[in-house]
Amino acid sequence: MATEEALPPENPEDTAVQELKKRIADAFEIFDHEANQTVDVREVGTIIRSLGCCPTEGELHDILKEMEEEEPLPYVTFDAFLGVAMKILQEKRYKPALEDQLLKAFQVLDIENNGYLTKEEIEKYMVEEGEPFSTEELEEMLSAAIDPEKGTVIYKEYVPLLVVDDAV
Amino acid sequence: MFSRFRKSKSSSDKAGGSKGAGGKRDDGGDPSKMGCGPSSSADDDSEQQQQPLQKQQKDDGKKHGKQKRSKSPQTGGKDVTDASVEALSIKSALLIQKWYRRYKARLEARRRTTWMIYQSIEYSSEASQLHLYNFFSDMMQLADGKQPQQPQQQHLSPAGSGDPANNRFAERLRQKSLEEEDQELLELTSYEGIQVEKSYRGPHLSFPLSASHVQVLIDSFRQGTQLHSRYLLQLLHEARLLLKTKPNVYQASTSISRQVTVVGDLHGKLDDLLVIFYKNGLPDVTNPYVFNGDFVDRGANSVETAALLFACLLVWPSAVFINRGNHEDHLMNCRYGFIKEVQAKYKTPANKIVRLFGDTFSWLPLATNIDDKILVTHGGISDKVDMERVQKLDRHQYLSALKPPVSDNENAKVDYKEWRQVLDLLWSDPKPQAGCAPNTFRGGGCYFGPNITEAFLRKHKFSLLVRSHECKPDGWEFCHGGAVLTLFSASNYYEDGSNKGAYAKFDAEGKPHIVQYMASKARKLPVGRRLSTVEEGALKDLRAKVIASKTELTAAFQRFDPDKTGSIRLADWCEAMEQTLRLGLPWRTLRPHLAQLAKDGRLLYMTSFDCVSIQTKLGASAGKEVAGSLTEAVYKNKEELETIFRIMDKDNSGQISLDEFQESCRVLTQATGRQMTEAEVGDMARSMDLNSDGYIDFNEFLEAFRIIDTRKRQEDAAGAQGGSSG
Repeated sequence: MATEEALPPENPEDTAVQELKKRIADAFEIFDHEANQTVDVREVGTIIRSLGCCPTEGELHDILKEMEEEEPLPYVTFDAFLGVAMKILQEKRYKPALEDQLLKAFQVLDIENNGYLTKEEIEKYMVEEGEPFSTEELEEMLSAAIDPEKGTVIYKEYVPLLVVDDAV
Repeated sequence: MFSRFRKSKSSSDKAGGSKGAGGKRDDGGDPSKMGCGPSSSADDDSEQQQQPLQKQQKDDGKKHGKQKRSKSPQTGGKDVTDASVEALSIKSALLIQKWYRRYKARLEARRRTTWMIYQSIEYSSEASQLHLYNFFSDMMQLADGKQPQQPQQQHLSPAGSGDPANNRFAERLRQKSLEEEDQELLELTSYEGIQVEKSYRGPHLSFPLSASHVQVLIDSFRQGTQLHSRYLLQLLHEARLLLKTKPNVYQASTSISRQVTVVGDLHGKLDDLLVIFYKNGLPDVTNPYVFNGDFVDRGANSVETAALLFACLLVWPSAVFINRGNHEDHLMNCRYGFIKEVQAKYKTPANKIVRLFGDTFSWLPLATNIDDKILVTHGGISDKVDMERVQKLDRHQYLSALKPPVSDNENAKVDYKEWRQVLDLLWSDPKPQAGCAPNTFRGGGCYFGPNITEAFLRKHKFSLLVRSHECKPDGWEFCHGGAVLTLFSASNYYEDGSNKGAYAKFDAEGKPHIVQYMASKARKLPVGRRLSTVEEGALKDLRAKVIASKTELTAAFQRFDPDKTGSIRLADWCEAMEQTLRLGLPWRTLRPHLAQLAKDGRLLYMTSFDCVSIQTKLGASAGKEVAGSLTEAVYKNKEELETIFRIMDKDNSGQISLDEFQESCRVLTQATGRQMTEAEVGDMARSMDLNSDGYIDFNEFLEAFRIIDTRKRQEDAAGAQGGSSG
């Protein structure tokens, strides 16, 4: 990104806006393979989520609609992306729930209160409930979630892994 | 969607086996049996299990969805409760999915960032390599009393031209670029006088080689045995003679085999080559192979990889095609490890081996044409590349493709256009935008756009260009609308787990079948853990870059901090990092790994240098510390310095005299415009350990400058704890 700022803004609010813009630009740049200010439409979800948002696939669809310029294209331009992403982050839309809510979600599914879910249970819940979940996603999820010794998902240990904020 | 009960009957049987507390599973459905649950379970955790079960019993009457659902089937299925229970479980699944996808996206962003770090560092080092060559060629021109051919390259101060030391250096450089007469080379690299000791336990070769020798080589290389220098030299001589008979572009046909396999960069990673042979079989008339260059440098087994490929070439000359890559180049080998490896493995005969490898590499053909359909070449093409021209040039002149051939003959004209053909074939990269531009990122060759590819393929009636040269996360990648295929066969290239390797099998119609692999244990690790290793490796390299530019960076930070508060805005830090290091990285994203923020959100810029420091073991014996700025200068230019040392080292012994050392430093100062004073260099030279004849082991010298991690190991310990449970 070119350094476009001529004068450092004095207003702290402006500074925050500038910082946010740059954060979005940075996240976008990582996926702008052709260095031409566009990204593949299929990567928009990854960028939005890498910025810390937590939309469902359905909500992501709405986000993409919002970014659309005139007609659906296989790519999204930076300007279109920035406008929508700024709004989402400023309004704190799709803000992730608190960690204990995620833990509660697992507890709801853990009917016997075992403290774990089996591979089969995870598979069932992820594939049959919620939004469509691909086999590939499921396999990747299990590969990281399953405790190698016990062969089950001990969610008290898995939840911190999911919510870890690697920006700290 | 009341999943638990839909599967409770079928799963309760196997649950008993797979879950320690299997008995409790059904107990939950019948509170009257509650008491026997924990007691029937002999598990250690039965105590803890008791707690929630009792609670469950207590809660039973309440309107708690989770417990309610265990009762509902027996009470005849209360639809309303079912619906709310189901909604709750859908909501929970949805929440988990959302979090999971966010987690995945963050991993993906980290993965891409890591990739960017590795690539920028790799290419910035190659770019400085080319700067160095531009400097070398200027210097040779000046030594000849000519004006530099490329006036835009102004690395050298005119004063340097009269310096006798520079002339000596230029002389060294010239010696290696001279086209050596066959006879002279043969005498110099003769293996006749070398005896194979009785104690030698490695593989024995006899010529002509047969398929069984290839198997013997594979078996002994796999066990880490080294090939005797006599056999290695003999093998190279034979391969060289055969390669000399080949045209610049091989013609390969699938008319008999009905298929052909193309392998990309191997970079001394013997394991990858062995995986390919294991999966795809040894070469044979029915199983031909094209090896698309870059089989040496960087990896630890370049000698073995090259020896095995040359042995295959000799045994199956009509079924093995070895293209030259940009690393089959004497000057690249000075810097990227191959010569160092030969010296470490072969000691005295190393000089012969290095010279013979260098000459043999220059006889490697530049491309392979498969069935007039597919062109396979290491880097790619440019708007200048013309196959007719390529076929006619004298490839052997280019001992290094990075230097235009310089002749002793005053009248001989250097053919820059011909040189460009070689440089562009070996060094180019495709780019998504139209057109052709010099590859400034890498330093050599071109970036060629889809229109250049299209015009080239049309002109030569090819349907596909296969090239290597760039590491890809999956080991392969199509671009230019499927007209260009990149194949990279060295898995774990940057770090264990960083990337897969791939090769492609083309059928007689030219259709590719791509096979991926990973020659290490890393593939068994979960994605997140594997990424952490790779990421940590990239950050380590990046921190080394940061510390090597400490002086410059500090000055850049301080420009934003006129009042010397020690902190600057994050935006200023990012700008200072990019302007100084020019790596084109997302500094904001990387900041948490590189520097710390104060409580007010401003950046404490000196923490950028907290994690690592450059340590030198020099001077300890002489009781003299090497000045910090000098340490930094040497470390920063370590690779350039190594290249210069190796050029100075006329007999490839790994040692140079004190004079030559000082001269090398002078050359470096002039080449890079970076400051090292005579006095400092002299101090450094004198503080080094010299061996008895006053020579300096420059490998030892360079290794004395290293980056050490100065962080407390606390986070690591914490990380290991988390990792062991996940």
